[in-house]
Amino acid sequence: MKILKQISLITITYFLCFSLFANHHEESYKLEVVAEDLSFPWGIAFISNEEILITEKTGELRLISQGVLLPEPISGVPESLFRGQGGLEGIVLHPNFENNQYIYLSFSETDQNNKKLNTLRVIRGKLEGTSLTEVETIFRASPSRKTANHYGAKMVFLKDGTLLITSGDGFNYREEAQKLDNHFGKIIRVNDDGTIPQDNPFIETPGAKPEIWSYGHRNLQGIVTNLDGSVIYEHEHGPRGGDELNIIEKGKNYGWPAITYGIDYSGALVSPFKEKEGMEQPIKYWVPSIAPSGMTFYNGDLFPDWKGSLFISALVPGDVRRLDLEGTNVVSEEVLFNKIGRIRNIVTAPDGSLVMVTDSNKGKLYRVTPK
Amino acid sequence: MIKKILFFLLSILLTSFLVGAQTTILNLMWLSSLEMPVTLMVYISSIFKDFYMLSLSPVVGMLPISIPPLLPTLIFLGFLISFSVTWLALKWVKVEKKYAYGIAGAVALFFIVYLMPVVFFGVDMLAGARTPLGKLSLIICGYVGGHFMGSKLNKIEL
Repeated sequence: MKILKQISLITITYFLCFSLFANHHEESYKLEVVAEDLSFPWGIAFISNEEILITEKTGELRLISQGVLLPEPISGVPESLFRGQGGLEGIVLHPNFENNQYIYLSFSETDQNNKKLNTLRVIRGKLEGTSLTEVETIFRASPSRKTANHYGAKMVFLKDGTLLITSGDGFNYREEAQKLDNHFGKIIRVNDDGTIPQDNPFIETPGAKPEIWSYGHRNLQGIVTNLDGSVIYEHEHGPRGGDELNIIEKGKNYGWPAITYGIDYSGALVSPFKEKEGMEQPIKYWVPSIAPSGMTFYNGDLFPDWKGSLFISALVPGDVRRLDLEGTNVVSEEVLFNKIGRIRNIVTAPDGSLVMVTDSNKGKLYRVTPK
Repeated sequence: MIKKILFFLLSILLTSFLVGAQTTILNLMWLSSLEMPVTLMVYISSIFKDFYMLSLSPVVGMLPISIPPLLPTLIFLGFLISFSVTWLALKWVKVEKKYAYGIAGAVALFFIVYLMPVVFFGVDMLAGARTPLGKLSLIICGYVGGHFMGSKLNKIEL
């Protein structure tokens, strides 16, 4: 009897210690809901620490000011096509936003010449109060597509002031990602006014679209640079398995769909090959898929242990992956924030907190700060 | 009756194999055009891998639960409807069974390849169905499956 009591005591102590240890990590930060009832929130951009712009896939641009979601959306935003995976999606501020008030939006829109088709369009406009004015088209993907899937639609400004835009393969058009005469499965580079930089890699290539910066991509939903802008990180959805994290370099071919670590949704092979000379390898890939949906390179001061990490939001099963980097190598992966559902995007706020949105018609915006 | 059910299931499996092989071959031909090392062995192993994955392996990861392989399930539903209609029609119309069921199989595949994009926002889940020629060849696969069923029914009744 005495032995039984001792065994029970040891067992209880063991589990108590273990659960305390397990909970310890989660207690190092707190999650706070800043805004809710967002309709499929997608893109996030900070005007200041207390002013956040959010795109809703259903077509509205919303402003959160001093922790309050303004009831009226920003006016003057062009109409987008909310269908399938399409809608109002990416948002980025001009690097000189303080002086010129330019914001850039990416979205799917119906082709004006053929209503059965649609495409990815990027515009810029001046944010004046709660209105968007002087709207002009910066980029429109060509040709248009029948499908409402795989738009990409993420954007980032490089340190030279040019803008990278991700343009997905449109699902049905995956083979086009290997050709240079179209925008399917490409990263596009344009100047801030939409003109084409003269040092783009294919500007002299006959038949190639001059905006192309890199090719052989699938559905690219994360693109960021490191602190000094010298490294471009991009992630893309694989099909069933094969989500990739890549380092993007000028003119390179990233292989889709000739090489891949995933298979088709139907179960069929996309390709029996995983590598080929002249096609870039990811620095990390996921099998099974995590459905990466957004990314931030953390350089804030609120979480010193996380400095220099990449944070990738994931829709499946719904969490954030913190990737520890040594140079450009991923050395470890940590799963965070896995109790709030599908996470559509993650960004670093000016004060160093992390901000995320959940993917739902009742989407929430969370802020992560140290406890 | 057991024989009829067996032949029905075999016709689904045959069609499923042909549809899978069509998708694999078209895909490998495209890869070959990129100068990927597509050898005869790659063709053979890919066709059988795809047959297993498309027709025999449950789908895991698409939904929270595993679901039966999509392709034979779709063909099963398509054939069930079109073969039932054919069975009824043959009571009044005199056509050789192998042709009647062949046409029924083709019609089933026609609806599968054309309805799939309507359900999935324009997406053709079968890579082999993304061009008009690809769609036509899949419809022919449906005809072959139906023809097999019809000719076996003929033999049973003779």
